[in-house]
Amino acid sequence: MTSRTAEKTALSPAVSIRSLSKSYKSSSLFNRKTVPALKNIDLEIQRGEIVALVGESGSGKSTLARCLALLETPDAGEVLVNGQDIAGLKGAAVREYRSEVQMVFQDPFGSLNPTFRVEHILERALAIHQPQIKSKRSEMARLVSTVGLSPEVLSSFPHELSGGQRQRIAIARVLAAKPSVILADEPTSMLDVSVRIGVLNLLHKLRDEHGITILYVTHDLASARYLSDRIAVLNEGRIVESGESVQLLDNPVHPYTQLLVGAVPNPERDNSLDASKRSTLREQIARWSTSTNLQKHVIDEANQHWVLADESEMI
Amino acid sequence: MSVPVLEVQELTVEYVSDERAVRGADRVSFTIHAGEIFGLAGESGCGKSTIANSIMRLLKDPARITHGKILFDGKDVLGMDEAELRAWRWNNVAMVFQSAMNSLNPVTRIGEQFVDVIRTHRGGTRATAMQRAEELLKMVRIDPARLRAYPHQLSGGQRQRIVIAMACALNPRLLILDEPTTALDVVVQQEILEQIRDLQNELGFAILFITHDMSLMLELSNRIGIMYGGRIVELAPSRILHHDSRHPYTQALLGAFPPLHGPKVKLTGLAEGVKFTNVQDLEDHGDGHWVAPTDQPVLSQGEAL
Repeated sequence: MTSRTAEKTALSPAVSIRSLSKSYKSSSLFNRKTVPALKNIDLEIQRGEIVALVGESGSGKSTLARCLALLETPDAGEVLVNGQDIAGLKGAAVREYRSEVQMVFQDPFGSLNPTFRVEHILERALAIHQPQIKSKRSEMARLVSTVGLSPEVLSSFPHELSGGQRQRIAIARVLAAKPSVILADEPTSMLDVSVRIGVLNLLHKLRDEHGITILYVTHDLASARYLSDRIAVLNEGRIVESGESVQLLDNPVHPYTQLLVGAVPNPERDNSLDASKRSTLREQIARWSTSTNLQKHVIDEANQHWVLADESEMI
Repeated sequence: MSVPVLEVQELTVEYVSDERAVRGADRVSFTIHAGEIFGLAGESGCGKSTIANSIMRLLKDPARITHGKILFDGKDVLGMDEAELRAWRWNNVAMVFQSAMNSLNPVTRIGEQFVDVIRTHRGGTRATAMQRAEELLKMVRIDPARLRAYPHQLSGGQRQRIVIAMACALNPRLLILDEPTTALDVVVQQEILEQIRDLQNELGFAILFITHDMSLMLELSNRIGIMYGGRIVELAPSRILHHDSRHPYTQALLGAFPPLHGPKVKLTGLAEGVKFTNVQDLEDHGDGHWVAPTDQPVLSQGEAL
């Protein structure tokens, strides 16, 4: 790497997505149509930043994470990770990229091979991603302690561990690749409630102590606010609003964000949305999304808060 | 004090195998009064569905009720024979299961399924049953014309509302809801809960509400029992439970749901591997607040994130 590109990568954001689009083809026999999953997505994530991607099922949030993980090929647009375009990566470059960008999946029951002990699972990851390490044993002990487990778990099989422990092992395996970016797709939604917060705290610690950039994909606004610095709200394949987490959820501008915030169960609140407010918001969402002149409008510069709207809605 | 609709006393359920017996529920006692919403919260495997299935007498081998009583309007449920149970279920107590929206018959129109339920339990003509079905659909704000639809033509949220309407078809005194909104998006969840409240205002039934989601539970229930390992570890009116929970497990459950407003504070949840064993009987803390004594430390929360 020349010094010039090194400088460029040092300054570039961890993830930079520009005008990304992706559609799926549904191919039933009589009815062939394309379903857009992502429409013209722009998103930048700075190094060491945690960004949450929130939206309902079908909003396209997993598709975006999967595009970043090279599990889907976008139709249009570009994705730069640490300044490097990921389209057309081949062979060794793909392997290198996969060390750099790792994914934590929703289901820790399905993502660990049940026939191997934890030590084998971690050893494989180390052998693939960090073959230069000689003392694998001590490195594995270090990894499990980083994720808050004792070294005894190394000799366990996945089925002997609880859901929370398994998800921590999945995260330890991710760390074995020494990634700079982690894509966490609903990492806590299948875990028992009392251990969820522990996994979120662990992700937070990885950012604080290792400077890892995290894209946190979730439908749970409260956990997005808890973990992330910034939230991007996805609706029908578009990022409709984005900004610093606390500020965004305190002052949602887009009707879709307002609808989501109003639907979160909250025992403290007495003015929860009623049916008529909801239907008003729904009408607004439909009107906003069919506009042909959607533009980003800055709400609060300091908090990077903007909303995607037609000019006429912003007066 | 009103007469309780349901009284569960010292209920113990064991899952028996050749080698050992596992207690799914262990000396669980609570009462539900007319028109009250009582919540049972806890994690997977804590026994909350076991309780619901015991009340409905739906437990199958290897589960056995080994101790305790279930009284419905003072009548012993565990002593009913099959014929009495058939007359009692759905007429007096109805249950909506987890992912119940998938329990509709896919090859039968919605209307027919309503008619089937109503005529099986109450008799009467097809026309009156159909009329009742229309009323019920209106109550959950679905166009009665949809009675001609098949289940696959409706969204998940609509199907779930139909199942709830069906459970209310015979004006039961008690409705058991086992994770009624777990598989649904938040906006749909909110609509369904609102309709459950509306139905309750209209029909006046009591609810046994089961979920693991504490924020949902606190918003909907009047009183809440927290279950852990088959036992109730804390029981209190929701306001008290929310602001003055005493058992560390309750606090861990509450701490698992970060708030949507206010400053960000670090929550700790339950540490990996923390277990409560040999949970003692509940002690009275006044104002209907009951707590199982424990020597585990109370969790400290509140440092800045």
